[in-house]
Amino acid sequence: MIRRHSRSAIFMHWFNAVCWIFLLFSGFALLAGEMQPVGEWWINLWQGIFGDRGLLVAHLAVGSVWVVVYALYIVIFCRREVLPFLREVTTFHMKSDIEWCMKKGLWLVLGPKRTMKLGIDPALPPQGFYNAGQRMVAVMAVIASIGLAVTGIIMGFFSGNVEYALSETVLQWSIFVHFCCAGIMAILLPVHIYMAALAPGEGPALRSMFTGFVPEHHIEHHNPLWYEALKKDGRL
Amino acid sequence: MPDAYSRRNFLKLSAALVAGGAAIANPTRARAIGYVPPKGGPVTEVKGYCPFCQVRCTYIARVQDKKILSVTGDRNNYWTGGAMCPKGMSILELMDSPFRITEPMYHEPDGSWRRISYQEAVDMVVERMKAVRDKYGAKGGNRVALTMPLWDCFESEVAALMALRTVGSVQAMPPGETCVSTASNMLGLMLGVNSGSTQVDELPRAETVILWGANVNDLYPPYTRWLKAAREAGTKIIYIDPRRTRTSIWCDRQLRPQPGTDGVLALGAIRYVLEKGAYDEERARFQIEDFENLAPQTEKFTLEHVQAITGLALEEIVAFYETVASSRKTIVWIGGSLSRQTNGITTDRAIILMQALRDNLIGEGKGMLTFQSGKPGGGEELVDHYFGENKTPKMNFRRLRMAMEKKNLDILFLNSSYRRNPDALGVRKAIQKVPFVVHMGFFLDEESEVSTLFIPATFGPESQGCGYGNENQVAWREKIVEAPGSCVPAWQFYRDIGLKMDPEHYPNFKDPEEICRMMQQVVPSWKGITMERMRTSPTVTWPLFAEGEEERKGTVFTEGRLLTATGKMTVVDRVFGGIDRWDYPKGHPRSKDGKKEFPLILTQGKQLWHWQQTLTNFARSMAQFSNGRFVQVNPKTAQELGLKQRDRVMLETRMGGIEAWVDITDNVLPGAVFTPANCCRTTPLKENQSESICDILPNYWDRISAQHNCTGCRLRKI
Amino acid sequence: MARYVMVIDSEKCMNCKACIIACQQRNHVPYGLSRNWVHETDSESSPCGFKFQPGACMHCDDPSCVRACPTGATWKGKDGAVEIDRSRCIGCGSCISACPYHARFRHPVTGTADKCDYCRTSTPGEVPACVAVCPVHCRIFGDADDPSSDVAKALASRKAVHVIPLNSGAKPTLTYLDATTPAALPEGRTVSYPVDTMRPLAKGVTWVGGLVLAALTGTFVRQLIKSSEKEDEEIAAEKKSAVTQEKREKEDNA
Repeated sequence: MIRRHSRSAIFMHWFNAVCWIFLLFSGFALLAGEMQPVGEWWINLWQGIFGDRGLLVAHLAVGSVWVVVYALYIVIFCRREVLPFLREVTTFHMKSDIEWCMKKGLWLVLGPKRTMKLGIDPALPPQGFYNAGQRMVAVMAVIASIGLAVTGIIMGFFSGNVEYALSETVLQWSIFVHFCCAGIMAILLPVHIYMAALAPGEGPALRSMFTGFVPEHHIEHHNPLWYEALKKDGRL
Repeated sequence: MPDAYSRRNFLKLSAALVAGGAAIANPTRARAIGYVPPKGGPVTEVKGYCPFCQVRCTYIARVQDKKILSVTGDRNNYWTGGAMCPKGMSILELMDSPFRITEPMYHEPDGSWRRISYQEAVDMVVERMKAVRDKYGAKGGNRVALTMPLWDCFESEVAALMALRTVGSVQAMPPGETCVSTASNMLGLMLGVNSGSTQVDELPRAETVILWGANVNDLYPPYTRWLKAAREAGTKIIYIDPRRTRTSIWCDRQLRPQPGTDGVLALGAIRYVLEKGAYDEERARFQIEDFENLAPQTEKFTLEHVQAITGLALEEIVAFYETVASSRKTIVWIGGSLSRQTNGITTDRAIILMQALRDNLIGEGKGMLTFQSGKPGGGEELVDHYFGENKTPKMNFRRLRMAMEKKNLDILFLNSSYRRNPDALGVRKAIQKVPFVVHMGFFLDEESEVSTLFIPATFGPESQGCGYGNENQVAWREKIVEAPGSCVPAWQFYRDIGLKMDPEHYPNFKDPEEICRMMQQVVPSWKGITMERMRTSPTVTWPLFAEGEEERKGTVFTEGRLLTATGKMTVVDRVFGGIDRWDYPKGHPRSKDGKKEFPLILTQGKQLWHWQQTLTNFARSMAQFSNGRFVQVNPKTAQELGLKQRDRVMLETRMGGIEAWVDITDNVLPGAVFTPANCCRTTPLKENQSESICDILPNYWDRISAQHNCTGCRLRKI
Repeated sequence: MARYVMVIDSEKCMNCKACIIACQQRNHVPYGLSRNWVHETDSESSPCGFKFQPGACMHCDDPSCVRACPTGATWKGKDGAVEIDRSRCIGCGSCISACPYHARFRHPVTGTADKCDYCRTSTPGEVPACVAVCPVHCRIFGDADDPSSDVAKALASRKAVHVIPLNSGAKPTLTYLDATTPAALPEGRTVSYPVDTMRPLAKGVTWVGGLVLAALTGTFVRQLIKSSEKEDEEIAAEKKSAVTQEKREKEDNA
């Protein structure tokens, strides 16, 4: 077994997961009428639980906690985890990454047999510590997180500001950006959840999100480049 | 007294004193997200009345945590129907005003202000009063005077009168000295009642209502409801005013004579009625002693003459006279503006004679109205009850001013604004010659500048007491909130002086209610006005003579005759002479003393959102509508003078000039200039800042009092 | 259900401004800002040179402010009032710029959008302050569906006039009687660009999100029926057997 996730990373992942799901769900319930992607019933459901103002307060409270904890994490684990992670997820190999995404999709939807029948080799290009899909989602998540956090903070502090002449414009654009980021994540999150937890062969990956460890054969199969690197380092 | 004092100093000092009392509104930074309005204690409703004009609107104040949240007119008030005007509502803001001075201050000879305690202030006054009493004895009475009104309650007036009596003084200047004293004197002379002879609720019973210079809607908006009621009842409303105003909306017809020529219009009406025989000679003789004088006295006021002087079209005049000659029930409402011209005596007399000739004085839907309809008497009776009668003749303002100038006055209690008087700068100089001036007020204004001692007063809701108003109303209010700092109600201040001066005679009352109960016991005309009655109904009509008696509404001529000694009036008066000697008001460009250099006619008057020159100038709620010092001129005049909208000009009379901006409007006649009566120099609100208009108005003293309207003026572009 | 409406007889108004101050005081609106107003229009035909038109929030049936609010803090109530929940308002000002009547403003103390609420927050159940203080009763307020109310009577006996801004589809409920000046208002401002764009974007999120979920569900079901991993294994097995077979054939051949 090889350690894939540090304890702090595991904690942050699940902390993030809980916050995001809550913030996304409550956030949608805070939107009005035609700006509401789910439907009236969603607003009624959440406001029924938390109350009109309660929901807003809860959203703000959880959002604030999320921002604070993340800020602390980023500061404390900057060198050890945050920067390496960022370096890792921003390393793209355009051609093979696109190929990986296409083939992984076909593999899931059609299955390898039918893919072969189409005359495509189902074999995936070898991936490193993160595969292409993970990297793409990670980048989007980082951008969206920054967007959500920044606009969230702006809204928290500018809301009700009557001294600054442009505060209304700032607020309107903030809520717009906030919404866009949340919208993107609303689309990507289910994909991530399925791919990481439900898709076949991801059992060890899901387990590693709790234990931190993955079996070597899993690495060999899913992250061959990392496997090579580990081998080279003599950690296997 | 030196004038070189720094306003900033005063404010800096007072700001420290004010803190805690009336904190400057400093809202915490707003956060919209999740805003929850602060929860307060339970809201209660308390009755009160507006302190400003004579309409005396009563209101219901919503009170929470000893603060008034809002005031709303009292729906049960028969006279107002729940209406209130902007200036009345400004009381709410004025009470908590950051500009309010809430501690007594002593004005040092070097011009600086020193904060003193209330007790020190009272002692200081008492010391001075005793010095006068010791030095002059019984003759000292005329060395102490007081100007009214007190911005408080009837009981405060009584308390002040009693305080004066402790040195034998009866010199309390009535507020009407420069306002409507002409009207009230002429009404008193000719009708035997120095106020209106009927009440506003009679308007719907009249066939015709003539608003003669009475700009009801601008000055007393709550009374518009009576004009509305009259119109709905089919009453024809004729409005006579050179200026188009808010009242123009509610009349059927407006006549716009040249300013100052109303008397000619009235005299012409008498001539017209006589000529047409449209009168009942027996009834006319019943009311007019020297009826035979009427025709010769009005002979020269032919239609042509009236037309030439008033500038009205012949058809307009004839139509108006026809209405006068045919209306069987006419009420004339005479405006204060008529009283502010030196020929107002003739104007008012002519109008009253016109009414008498047409038998339109005695009876339902007939009579005269003014805005000074009935201050309840009895105050002096109560004072006499405690101090015995005092027959010293009362000074008028002219004599008071002379006494001040000759340094014959030692103490002046300055309660009202001296700036209501024309030649205000001259009055100011006279006041400055008084060695000890006590000003009871609220803000730093021109009055505090000339005073030796500043005593912070209370606003209505900060003390109980009864107030009186038009239609002989008496209204009661309870204390609603605590006054900030060391503010004291006037009754307390004068009581504390009185008790130290003459504890033997001065009654030691603990609150106005005690004085009021004394009034009810001692003064016959107050008998039926019980505390219970005042507390349970919005207002009570004075006088009442018995507990269960019905309130007296409608005409005062209940015995079917005028209330003068003879039951009649005269055309040619012993003192005022005939009415045929009508002339332009003094100072008018076309009068004998008119000057060529000042060819325009200056009229000044109140604006909707201002009460006098004082309190409301300090209210932001009023300032939001205010436009500063402006002069309105007709487009024709503007063209002749080469003036454009918003031009800055000097408005100049022979007394001096003040800066103003030009508003060009058809609402004033060519050749006339209108400027608002309010605005003051010391208000921190820019919208209301200006030199006082009375600074440049000459004092034209008529037989009765100081007058100032219709003086010649000019506009000089700057 | 009641249908509350304000009716104004603007011909009676003399612009005494009592309604403005009464409203400011009752609702704690700082002087200089206001929930209601009196428009002045120069008029030769008016005896005083002006035509006056008192107004306030029109409580529209199709309120553009409600459409502009991203948080649902304002809505059209069932009883005819357009309401604001200040606790949900973030003060973004979209509704303020959306209202063609300029009936809304940002309250400097609460920071939220503010407008006429018929005095419900300050004095629930009472006559609005502006109605109470008017000396000529030119403002009438009540339930238009109650035939005994003054409002219903006024509406039944006189012509109803609405003031509508030129480019607006607002359906105001505030009604003037017989005639009023001005008859229309200048073009109003439009909804702010960012908040306006959120509506189509929300639709986009609904559709794309829905599609993604559907695709994932499909894939999930497909994988349940036959896992790609198993297919991989089968392929591997086939390959292995093919290789084995080849080997065997080779051995056989050998």
